[in-house]
Amino acid sequence: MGLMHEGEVVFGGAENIGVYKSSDWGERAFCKLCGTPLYWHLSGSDTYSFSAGALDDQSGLRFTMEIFVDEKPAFYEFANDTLRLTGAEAMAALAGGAKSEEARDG
Amino acid sequence: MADEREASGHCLCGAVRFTATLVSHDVQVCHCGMCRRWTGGPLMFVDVDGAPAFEGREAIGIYRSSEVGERGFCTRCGSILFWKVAGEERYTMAAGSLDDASRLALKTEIFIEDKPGFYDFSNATKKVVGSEAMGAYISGSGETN
Repeated sequence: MGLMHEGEVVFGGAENIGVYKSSDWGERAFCKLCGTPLYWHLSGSDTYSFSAGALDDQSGLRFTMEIFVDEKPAFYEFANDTLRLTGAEAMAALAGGAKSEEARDG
Repeated sequence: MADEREASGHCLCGAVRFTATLVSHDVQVCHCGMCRRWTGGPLMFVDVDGAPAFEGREAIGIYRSSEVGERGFCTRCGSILFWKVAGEERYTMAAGSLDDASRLALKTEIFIEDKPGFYDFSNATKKVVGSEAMGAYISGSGETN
């Protein structure tokens, strides 16, 4: 479960962060000491998805979207009223956002 | 005749692979704060009969998260692999690490008292508080995992 963020991030203990390049377009960061996932990062951008479970204050969180629903196994379903995107739809939305960023930054 | 409880799995990068005999195809979900911080959402797991057989053991990191629990993950890619009883060969494997999810069924939610309000499963599940859930793994345990 991730929370999208655009922009700068300040880390403490950065030497403990492991990064795994999971695909051509993304990397997954985790704590090397305990395995906790920290964020997914769109390579070459300022776009991050921070692990909701790692946040200190989760009181304001709202579950609004599920992505890669075409890969979801059948054995669980969320009851929340979410926008459901396939993997292709999610990646297109992400690419669209990145292109807007490029255009803005010139 | 192949035992339907035989399962295999691996981490995202493939450094760690395992085979295991599942107790059943019932999936439990843990909502406790430790599991949610550790995985990013609730931890979905299955109970294992005996210990799994691992390949790539050298890539497994173990974090002793409490008096009673140890958490195993891949040190190369961060994938969550298992929660086990500290000092015992009593494992539960992360449901997402299994190669075949087709027979899995979500049956139980544990540490239901710790679940945050922003998500819910629609599955018909048994809901159990932490102390009752931990009793299945550690006799006399009242808390922490």
